[in-house]
Amino acid sequence: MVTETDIVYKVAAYGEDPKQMRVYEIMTKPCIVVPPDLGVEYVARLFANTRIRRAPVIQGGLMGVISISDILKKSDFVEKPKRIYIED
Amino acid sequence: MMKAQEIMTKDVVTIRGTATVAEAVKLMKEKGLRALVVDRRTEVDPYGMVTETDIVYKVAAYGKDPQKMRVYEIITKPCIVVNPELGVEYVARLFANTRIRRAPVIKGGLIGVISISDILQKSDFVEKPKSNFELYCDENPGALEARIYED
Repeated sequence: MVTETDIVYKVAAYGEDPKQMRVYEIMTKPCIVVPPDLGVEYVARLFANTRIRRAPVIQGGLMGVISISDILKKSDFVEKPKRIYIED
Repeated sequence: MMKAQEIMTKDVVTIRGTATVAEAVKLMKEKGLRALVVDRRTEVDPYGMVTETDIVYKVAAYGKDPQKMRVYEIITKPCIVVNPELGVEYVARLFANTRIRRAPVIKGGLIGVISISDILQKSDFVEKPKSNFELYCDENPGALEARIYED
């Protein structure tokens, strides 16, 4: 994946010319991927533990991308907080 | 070099530190924002911020109840702030060095918020990339290397 953060941290911050740089020089590969049936609380836990904000959703091929904005804006964690039992 | 004030977002929404996380989420959804600035309690109190990352990493990831958690429990305070005159490349460098993505812009009081999205979408770093050497010369106009000789 290549994100805004990669571009700002690695290109803009050092005055590098974006026209001379290639995506492969700044991308994260391999990146963490998520299966489509993973519970949203586990996606949040995975993101928190690995300090990422976004991941491709993969099953067979690329199905979508899930981000912390999707979790915040579309999930029901406010209405129905679910305690997950990873430690138990 | 463009300045922070030229690309910052001026519509800043603030929230009280004692508000619940549920209220913060509601406000962020309504206003379409990814972060809120936390009100200062006094004139000498530092600025704080709460972002969607704070909420997802510290609340959603642990199944905690957003109605029962307060904003002050998850905020970053004091947070790094930016001067409106700071050049955009320096904002990018500051963000990269401190691993942040967003900061309030302060002069006298709160005048905006600048984020990596603002830098990517509104600044001219693609059209006019500044080399390290140019940044160095801007910073040290008296340095020998910075002098321009004409023959």
